[in-house]
Amino acid sequence: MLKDITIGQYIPGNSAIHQLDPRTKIITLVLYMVGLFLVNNVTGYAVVTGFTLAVILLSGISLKIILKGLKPLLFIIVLTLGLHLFMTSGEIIWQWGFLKITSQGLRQGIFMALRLIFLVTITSLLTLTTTPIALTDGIEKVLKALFIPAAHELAMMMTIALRFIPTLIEETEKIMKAQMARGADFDTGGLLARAKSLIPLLVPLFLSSFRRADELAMAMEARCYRGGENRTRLKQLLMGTRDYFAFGITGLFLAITIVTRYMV
Amino acid sequence: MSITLHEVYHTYQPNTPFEYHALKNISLEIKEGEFVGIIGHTGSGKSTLVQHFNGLLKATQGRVLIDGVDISGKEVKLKEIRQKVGLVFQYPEHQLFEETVAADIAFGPKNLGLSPDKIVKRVKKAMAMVKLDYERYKDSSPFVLSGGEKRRVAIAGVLAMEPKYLVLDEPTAGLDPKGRDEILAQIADLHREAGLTVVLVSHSMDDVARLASRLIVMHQGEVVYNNHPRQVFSENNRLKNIGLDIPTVTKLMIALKEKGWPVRTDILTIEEAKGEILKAVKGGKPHA
Repeated sequence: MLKDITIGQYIPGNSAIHQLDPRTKIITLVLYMVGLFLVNNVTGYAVVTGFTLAVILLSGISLKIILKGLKPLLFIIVLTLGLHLFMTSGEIIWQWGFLKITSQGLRQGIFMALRLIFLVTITSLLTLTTTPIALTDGIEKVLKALFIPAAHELAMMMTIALRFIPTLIEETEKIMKAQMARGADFDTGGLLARAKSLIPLLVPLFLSSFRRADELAMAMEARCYRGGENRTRLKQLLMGTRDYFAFGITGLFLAITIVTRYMV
Repeated sequence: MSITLHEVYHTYQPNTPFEYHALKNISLEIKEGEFVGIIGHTGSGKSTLVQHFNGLLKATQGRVLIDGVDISGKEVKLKEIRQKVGLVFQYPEHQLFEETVAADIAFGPKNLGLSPDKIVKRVKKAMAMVKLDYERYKDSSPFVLSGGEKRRVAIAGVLAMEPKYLVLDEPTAGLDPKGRDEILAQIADLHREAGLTVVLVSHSMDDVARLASRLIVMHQGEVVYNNHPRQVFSENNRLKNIGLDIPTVTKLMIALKEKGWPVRTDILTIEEAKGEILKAVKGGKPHA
């Protein structure tokens, strides 16, 4: 059940995408998103779909894992599709009672759903192919380049948050099991009953989170952690040919999306 | 009447790069009235194994029978299985959540749908079983108690379900020696006086050796020994190879024997060792 959550999960690999510098991945991701939000016609979406599939293929991550990551978003995707499908006015192509689908609505609905799917896919691809440490190093560098104060602290907070997602999931499962062993039932009953059934889960979870935070702070202080000032790194980030190539390709992609929007 | 596992396999995250075979071809039986110790290194599959006993984990392959009922059956009520097989997790005090000790222990019976006065009765009984004074502790917050007391409250929370089989996963982890001895003595009492079938999971040979009447040794997801402790510990060298130690007293006796003292080496408790050493000393000096 909880194991289905793939956010923040890293899948080891040696693909071209895995080997990119995290900064490259973050910046090209932003460029990709700009492109994704620029496209507004069939040609544009075809380009985006092709590009996305190519990136997935290149990363060596199986489509199954990507689809699994989309599962929690199924509801919101269907909702988006439905809203656009039934709420857009225009040329009616299907009607049943007060429900009607217009060709504009169909088009818009599919576009929006695709946009959501691609957005989530490519973002999860970032975490799937980048170790949390490399990712936060990259974020820190990018934030610094943008002159954002406390870049190191922000990045450290993110590292810790990412680092503790699996731990908390594990902990949640453990407590759930312990309460289930005492006859607790998390899956049945009405909304109120279910909300109430979460108390035996949430109270211990909060307590253990505070305990963990305390212990971590203590351990960091014991090792003289004092924030980012004058901190050096064991692994320096270095951009290589591969990274410039990735920038080139993404730049080209962005250019094509602009062309499809304004010139086709 | 027993807990029976028949050729059970368990795989975590199958068909992913993280696929992990935690249990491989496990067949075993725990009969009513037994005191079974399960021993193994960290990651040997002990905790995974015991979670099959009450249906928290489902076998990837194989069958688990509780009192002859296959628990993977559709019509099986898992709540009933979990009432029958009480499972105390590692660090059970981390599952406490209620405002008072009594309310926390009442959580299990309440889930079973018992009436309020029956619940109170069960809470009192469970607290007596772990030697916590009802009047003194019932209204205090479980979070202000000491580590050992918290753990006893958590164990009482499972006992209040009135299980037939009690499975404890590392019940002494993180306790000081005094707390450890108290908990172990209480577990022994639960077996002897309350007549519970006990399964004690541990990585400490000293804990298990003197209590268990049978020992199951796990290594890399497989059962390597399933025998009386004396037999198991006679395999000193093989145990060492899989990273397990024999009890300290047994080690002492082996060392004495090597020095030439005429002592038995299949000793499990300090009392036995005392008798054996006195006998040897009276018999005169070794002829090494």
